[in-house]
Amino acid sequence: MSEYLHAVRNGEIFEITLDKPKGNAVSAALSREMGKLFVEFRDDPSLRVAILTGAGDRFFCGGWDLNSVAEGEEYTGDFGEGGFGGFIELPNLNKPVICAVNGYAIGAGFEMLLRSDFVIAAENAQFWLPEAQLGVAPDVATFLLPKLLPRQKAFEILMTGRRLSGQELMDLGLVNAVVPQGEAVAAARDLAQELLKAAPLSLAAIKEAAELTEGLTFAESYASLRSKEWPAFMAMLESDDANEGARAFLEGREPEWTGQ
Amino acid sequence: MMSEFLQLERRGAVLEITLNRPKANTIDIPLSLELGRVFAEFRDDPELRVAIMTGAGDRFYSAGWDLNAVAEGEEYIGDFGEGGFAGFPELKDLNKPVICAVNGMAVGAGFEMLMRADFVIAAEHAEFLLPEVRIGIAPDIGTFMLPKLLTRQRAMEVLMTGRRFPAQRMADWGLVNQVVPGPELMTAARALADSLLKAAPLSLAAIKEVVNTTETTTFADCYARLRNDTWPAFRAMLDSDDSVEGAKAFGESRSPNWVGQ
Repeated sequence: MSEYLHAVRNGEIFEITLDKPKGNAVSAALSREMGKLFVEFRDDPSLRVAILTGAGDRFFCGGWDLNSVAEGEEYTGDFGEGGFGGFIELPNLNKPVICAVNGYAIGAGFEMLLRSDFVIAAENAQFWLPEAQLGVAPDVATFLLPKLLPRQKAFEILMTGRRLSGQELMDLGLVNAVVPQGEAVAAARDLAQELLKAAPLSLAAIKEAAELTEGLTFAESYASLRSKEWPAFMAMLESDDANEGARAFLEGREPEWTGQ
Repeated sequence: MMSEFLQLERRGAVLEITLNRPKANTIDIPLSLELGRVFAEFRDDPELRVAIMTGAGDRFYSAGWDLNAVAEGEEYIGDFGEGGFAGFPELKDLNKPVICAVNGMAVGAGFEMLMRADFVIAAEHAEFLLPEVRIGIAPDIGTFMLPKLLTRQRAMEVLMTGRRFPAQRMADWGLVNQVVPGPELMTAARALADSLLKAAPLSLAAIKEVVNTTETTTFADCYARLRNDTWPAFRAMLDSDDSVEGAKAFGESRSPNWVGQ
């Protein structure tokens, strides 16, 4: 593992900390290392929720490492199978990812949050896309923000480079909760514990179906479901856990998930 | 048409449907099929223009799919009728507005149907939750629709945590139009229905048709389709007597008389 990454197993929670002084910027090489960690997370059945955060209180992630850009890294280069930051493009990542934003999230460090399932922000966190003022343009944000927000708000963020607070992003729906400085990881752990109460195959079915229906109409979504061609969704419907869930409900007790 | 668990009332051009299946207004396949027939009748009756659906009592709007029926073998991917679960979410050519008046808890599929309602008015004590992940299954409509209606982060919060959300939060997120004190719920829903009656019927039909058929169409393709005349309800609206009457009434500063043609 890279000297700039710390990965800790906290029970079923996989905690990844980006620690690359000073700005937690990510080069293509570091991004590929992050991708390997998220593959390990995806493929290990004993891990159920991932938390990604940055070391220190100043930066979550300063985005693409401008030193490596100066050394010739290409914008459309190889950032690994998970894309920039390791999870945003990773196929079949059917487990929840929480980003605990401890400080500034800049450029690609902000953009990765748009693909995160949950975002917890510390009060001191700030978010901005400086690309247009640097003569380039964002990719993930340009694809996603006009789908997540009204055109007017999306362009404000994409084109002005203005810094936004966690509270502003929470009002726009891009952040789930804002917490005091230094408490983002603790809040992310609380959320992870809540997610552990859900059946693993239920969460996998949700992520798979959300992914597969992204470009489908409502009618097409149902037609696709009824074709029974979604592996994770069908596995959920036929699982022991689906029986256990109904039984525990009727018996008024907490279910015990086996993930099968 | 009348059933044990449905109360239907015509109030002029407004059809009011009350789900009354103690204790929690859950829906099984037979009731869903029946709701599908009610909504098909609403769709096909030119006298009816707006539907309001609510639940009896003030505790539950609908607790969703009846778990007793599930225990008796109803299948998740079963036949819930031509309108889908609860009768309207999948009903074809339902080009009239549907208002859901949420009088209490909306749970599971009882919440999900609201994502396909055109308007949602909620009592301030109403709560909304998708508990599926806590019983080992997953929502369908919620999984298809929430990531399109909300940001990913809010959608996943609703889908994956099973938390209860208060009516006001759903209004802040745009899934509920208005939150009112419980006793005023039907008054508010009827006031909304009456305001919709001031719109031309073919105008509302044109809007629903285009919204439903351009869900995933790019902006340029929407215009191409408009210019190719691919939308029958939209074309009927453009060619209607009501579109002439609307302009005439506006010029004469009077209320238009809609004939629906």
